Amino acid sequence: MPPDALDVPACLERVRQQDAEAARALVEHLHPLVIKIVRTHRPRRTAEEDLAQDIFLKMFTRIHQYQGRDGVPFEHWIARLAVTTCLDALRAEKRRPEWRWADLGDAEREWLEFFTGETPAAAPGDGFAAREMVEKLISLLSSDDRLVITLLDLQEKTVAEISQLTGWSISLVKVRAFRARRKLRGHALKLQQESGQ
Amino acid sequence: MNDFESRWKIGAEAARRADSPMPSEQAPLGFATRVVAQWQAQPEVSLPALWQWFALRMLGVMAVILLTLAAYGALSWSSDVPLPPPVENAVGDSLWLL
Repeated sequence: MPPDALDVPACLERVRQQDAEAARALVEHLHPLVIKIVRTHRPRRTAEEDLAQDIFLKMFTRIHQYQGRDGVPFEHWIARLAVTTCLDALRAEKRRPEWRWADLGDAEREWLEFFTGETPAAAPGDGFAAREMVEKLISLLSSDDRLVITLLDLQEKTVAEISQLTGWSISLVKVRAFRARRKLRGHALKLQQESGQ
Repeated sequence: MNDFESRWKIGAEAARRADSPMPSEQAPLGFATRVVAQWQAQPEVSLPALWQWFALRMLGVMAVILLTLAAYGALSWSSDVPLPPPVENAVGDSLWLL
């Protein structure tokens, strides 16, 4: 049976009765969704497979808490579980990476100068360098700030979707995003100042 | 929108466009079997869940006892007949437990 054709409610019923075959089918069906979230939000030192495994184990342990009659699709429930598990793993990560101006390539430095306003308004053309620079700046943020900026600016989720995924209120998401961007600016300026030293 | 925010949005858009193709999203061979085996090796019910289950049922049982005794008490009250001591003791013990 192709993964997309899985009858999720029937499968969940069998999983609740400890059916191993149904549980395997459910893991295979949900793996693409879970691994996408893990790849976006995992801490640098955690293997993606380990984190995905933790999410699925939590799913099986808490499966009785999911009530299909609430109208929430199971995929939404597991996405939220995956995001909160990644957030916990990010919070547990004690040290954040430290980037120095000397670590940046030429194209990344161009983007940094663009962000800080050192160069005129025209953006550099190298998209891959943009991604590297954006990811480096995001990695300097705290776990909550990192999550909100990744979801909002890189994944283009709406504030309402982020609120649903994280359990934070709409206003909290907006405030966090505002503060996170201010911190990003601070990190970018600090990094840029090193170029003059 | 301040200057940094507008520049950041341009950078984020460039970053999104430059997204490299991700490796396969299908579960690696044996992954599902490993996860399921680990799940089934876990104890079926955790201690807090067991405690919650037990406490909720105890609460239900206590409520039924209390209501029964209250109904019995109300009926006895109207007939002006004092409650026999064992019933009074049972009500007193139940209230103390709550």
